[in-house]
Amino acid sequence: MTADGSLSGHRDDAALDESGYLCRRALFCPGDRAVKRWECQICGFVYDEAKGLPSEGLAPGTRWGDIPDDWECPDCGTSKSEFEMVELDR
Amino acid sequence: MPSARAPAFRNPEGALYHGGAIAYTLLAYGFGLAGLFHDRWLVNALATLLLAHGMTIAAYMIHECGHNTVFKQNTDNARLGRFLTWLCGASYGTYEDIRYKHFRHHVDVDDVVWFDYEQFFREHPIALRITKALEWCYIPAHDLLMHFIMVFTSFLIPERRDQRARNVSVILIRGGIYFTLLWYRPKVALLYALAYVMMMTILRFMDSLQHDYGYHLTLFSKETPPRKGDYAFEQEHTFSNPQSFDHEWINWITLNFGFHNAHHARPITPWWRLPALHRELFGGDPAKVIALWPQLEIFHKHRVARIVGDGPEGDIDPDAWGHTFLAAAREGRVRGGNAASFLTSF
Repeated sequence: MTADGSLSGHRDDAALDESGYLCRRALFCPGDRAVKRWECQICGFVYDEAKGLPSEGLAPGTRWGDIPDDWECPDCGTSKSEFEMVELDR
Repeated sequence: MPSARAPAFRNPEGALYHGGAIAYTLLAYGFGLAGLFHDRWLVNALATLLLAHGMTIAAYMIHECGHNTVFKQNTDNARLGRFLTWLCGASYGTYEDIRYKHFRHHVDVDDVVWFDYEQFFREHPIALRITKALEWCYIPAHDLLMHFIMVFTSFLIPERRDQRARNVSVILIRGGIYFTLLWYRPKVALLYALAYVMMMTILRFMDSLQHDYGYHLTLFSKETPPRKGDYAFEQEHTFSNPQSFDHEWINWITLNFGFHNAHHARPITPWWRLPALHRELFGGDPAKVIALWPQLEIFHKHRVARIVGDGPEGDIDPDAWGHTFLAAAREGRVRGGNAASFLTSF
């Protein structure tokens, strides 16, 4: 139990989902927890949340929202804001 | 044992458009080269044109590979890009360096270089005089100088000393083949050189008017680029120069590279979608592009003057000062620039 009375990891707060909490919304909407892929709009580099980027210190499973805003594309050096979420076939 | 994996195209239409461009490049290069050995001059002439265009498309496909628009896996894009550098004579340096400089161009919103050709010409007036004379004869001497530096890249650029073994290998292979041809089949060697110069001319013709940035010697420096991320500035100083705005298929001759505003607005857009992207972002007003006639006029009229740019209004002719670059360019009253090819990675 947490201080607010909810079960740990089961808070009714979808906003926390991106931060890694296992929330109710995530339990019933697996799509929200699905790892996503982000593509650099300058060079086409793809960041896959499932794989992370260990060479850049980003462990597998690191969500896009958890990457610092001053992070730069390892391929072309552009800023994080130049990435867009993409659906690509694996 | 790892299984062989066929590269998959990134876009659904990629098999048709990218596949077609790759097939064309290979066929044009192969048949073009073979045609240089023919006994009939008419076949030689057509083969030279075909070879030049095959090399041109190879160059533009390197650009596509650089932006990873071709295949899903970026390693496949790099593999194709490296192969294509051999077709268009850009293999003396590395494909990675070509990409690096090109991305600095996009990300820094600048023309980021190592070689200060203006200073070089100031310090070598005889070289400038020779370059001017050759350029007057439509021989792209300025770009030949740049490609000459590229051939000896690891010996001339201190930051690339570690590429010497590779650089020497490529010089020996390409130089060996070329001089063998020159010895046994001089006509073939000379026609190949002519095709190469034609490719270079097409590339510089396209590059000449696409930006009015000027250049900065910051390729190897770590300083913060002052205009990084300033995409409004980037669009204000980027210009589109298609061969035709009304008949879009004509622009396939340069893989739509003339739709340069669209390319800079969304660089991972594959070549066949650029005309539609241009219309989506900038509308269908032909006044927003530089038409072919003024492009040709500028290319002819300022072929000597644009070697070394000077003057208080940059590239704009004195009689058009006060005009925007685009307005002046549309009237054929800018000089344009040289030495901006993405194949010369310095």
